[in-house]
Amino acid sequence: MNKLSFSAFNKLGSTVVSGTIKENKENFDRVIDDIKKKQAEISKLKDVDNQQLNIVIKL
Amino acid sequence: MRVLPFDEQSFAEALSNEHSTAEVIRHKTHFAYFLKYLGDNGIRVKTMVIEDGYISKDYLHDYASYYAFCFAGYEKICKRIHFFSTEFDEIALKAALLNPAEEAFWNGYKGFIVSKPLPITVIGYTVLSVYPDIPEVREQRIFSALRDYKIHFFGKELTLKSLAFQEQDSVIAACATTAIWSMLNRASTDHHTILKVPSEITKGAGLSQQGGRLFPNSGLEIRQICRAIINCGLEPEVNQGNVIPESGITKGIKVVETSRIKQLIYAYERIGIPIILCIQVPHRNTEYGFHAVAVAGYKMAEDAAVGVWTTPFVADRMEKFYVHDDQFGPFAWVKFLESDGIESPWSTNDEAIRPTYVINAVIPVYPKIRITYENILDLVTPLDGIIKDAFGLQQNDPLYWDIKLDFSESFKRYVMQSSLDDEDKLELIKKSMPKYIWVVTCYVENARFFDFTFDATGVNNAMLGLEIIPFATDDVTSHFHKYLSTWADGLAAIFQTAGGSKYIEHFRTQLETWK
Repeated sequence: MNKLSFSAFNKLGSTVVSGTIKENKENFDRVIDDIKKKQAEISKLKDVDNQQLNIVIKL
Repeated sequence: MRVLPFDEQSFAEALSNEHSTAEVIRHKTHFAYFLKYLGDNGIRVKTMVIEDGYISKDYLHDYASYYAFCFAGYEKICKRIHFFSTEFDEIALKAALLNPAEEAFWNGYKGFIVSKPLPITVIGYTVLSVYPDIPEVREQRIFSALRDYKIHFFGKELTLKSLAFQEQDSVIAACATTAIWSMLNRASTDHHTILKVPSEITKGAGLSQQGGRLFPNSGLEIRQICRAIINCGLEPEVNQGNVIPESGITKGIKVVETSRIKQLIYAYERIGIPIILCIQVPHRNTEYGFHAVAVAGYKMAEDAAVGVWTTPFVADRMEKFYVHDDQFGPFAWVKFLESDGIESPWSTNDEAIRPTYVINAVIPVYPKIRITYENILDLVTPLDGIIKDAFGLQQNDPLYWDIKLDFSESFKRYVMQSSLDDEDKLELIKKSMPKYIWVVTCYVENARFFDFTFDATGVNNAMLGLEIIPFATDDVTSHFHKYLSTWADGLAAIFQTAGGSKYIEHFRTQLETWK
């Protein structure tokens, strides 16, 4: 089986070059913001509804 | 010992007793379900062997707890109906019993149903084989909740892989107790978990919020389900509903999204303990009611291993799952619908085919497993963003995540079968690992990218990372290491646990070992 190589990313439209990290702080901050937004969405799902724990399962 | 061909009438009569005639049996939903399951579209039963005078341990306990004290004289002796996929008569059976080494005969054994001598609720301890093994779907159908059952058939010991089933008797046990009982049948293969009979499980659930008597039992609250699980030596992880569907469910009840149901079933499958799903089902044509089932397995979509998918989780390729539903039968399939509903046997039996909804998923785990799926999702979310940025991928590009809780021994077996170099394999398998680990695999399209492993027995505030195994070319791995080193300071804060700042350093150190 062939190992995943940079050509796979290039086929998907990526312009990243092996070993070259673009030190674009503005872009990086946007990435971090997006991650934080996703984390906030997930944390909303963790809210516990105590009422629902009182439902009687009886059928 | 009676040998009968399997047909509708003989089956109804075999299940009947002095309290429930064959006609009464025919009107049970179970009867229709079993006819289909045992028939040509199911496990293809041709012959039944009736074992009269059978003592069922589970029923005997319930009998001693309840039925023995009834004024009416209920029997304590059951009968057991054995099923075979081959045609034979009594003479052939006797010949096979006298020559038990004749394996070809016994390969046709498909399991049994114990018929209890009670009014209506006759389906007792049931062990039946799963759907026939078809090579085309072998890889797609996963039944990890199965265990080996040793069955003593007139002196011949037979072994069958299954998960035990029985219907609730509505006195000692309601649906939740019965689902827990099926779950314990699998969980108790680990010696720390106690396999209780239904009456003991109901007792272990304790008082409800409203108080009231336990027997006759009219159902369990979700809290009681959790208590009953704890009293058997396991810990329950409760995943609550989080969305309110637009229609078709009691006002205000939140349901678990189908994507989350798939992720949970998939993530905990390797441990083998069936998940208990609390569901809201269409009932009596206009109403909805609450019910519980135990998940016994699932089926991935036909082309699950190939193609480009629109969701980031491999689990989303799940097509259906199989449940022990005590109001229908074992291994009943449940399909996912476009909305957040599912199509259970309750839906297909409903005149308007209204959807069923999952309102809570209760995941019983061994107490040593402390890190939950949600804890791991908290790590995968930033990892997804980091990898996409490091390799210039867009939000909808095919980067997929496969998240599973596993035994480290099983992970080591997987390592030995992987494409890694022999030296790397040996390096990994000789490492000391916790008994339970989370294995998170990242794919780009169909190519394996990284495996991340995390300690499932640890403390969530600690850094849980164990190994990173890169499967890409060396320059891809080095590039990721360089990205992490460049942005180390900025990335340190995005893992939102107390030990989160240590993850980036851990990933970098791990990748250095692979250079």
